[in-house]
Amino acid sequence: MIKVIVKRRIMGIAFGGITTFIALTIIKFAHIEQSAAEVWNHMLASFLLGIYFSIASFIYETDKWSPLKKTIIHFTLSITVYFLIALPVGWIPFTPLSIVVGILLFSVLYGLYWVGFLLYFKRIEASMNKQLNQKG
Amino acid sequence: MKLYEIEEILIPHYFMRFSKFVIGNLNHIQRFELSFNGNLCVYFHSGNKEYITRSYVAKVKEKLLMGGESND
Repeated sequence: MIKVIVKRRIMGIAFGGITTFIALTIIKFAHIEQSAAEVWNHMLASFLLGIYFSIASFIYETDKWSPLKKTIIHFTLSITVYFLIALPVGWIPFTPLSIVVGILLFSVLYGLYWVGFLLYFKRIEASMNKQLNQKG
Repeated sequence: MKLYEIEEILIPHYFMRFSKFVIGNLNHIQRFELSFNGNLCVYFHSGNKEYITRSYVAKVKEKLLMGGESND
């Protein structure tokens, strides 16, 4: 278990690193001057977020919880953590409108996840029914 | 007799664990239906209805594909 957690944390850090690298690439080629301190802040935020999401994946592996429960817990936790990280580093301006837009985007994303999962389970249902019909 | 003991006896005969409370015969299933909480509702030819809980779905599916059926 601890091994898996450590492994995922490293994966999270890797994702944070890739995100930062993409941002740095844009900064480099757009010739934007940025202080190291500023970049450091964003990099730290990316790492923290990467680590959070890598650990949060365990929520979806809890078989005892229904899909709805998993989605709600993951959603609530993610949106809280995301805002706690994104607001201080300025990814989201601290205005009511941008916060509402942020929540809306989160909801749309989770809506898409939900549809994806629904289609996946429907496929399982269909393939099992097909199997029944073939035999019958 | 405990359910897991019955399960051991029945497993070679097209039976399969569906949940903590249910063992079902794969030969007598009419159709499956996805229910909202992610469990799979099973309709038997007899008209009975049971549920396969999420954690057992994969195993049941596997057995079905391996031909847990065909018993004539």
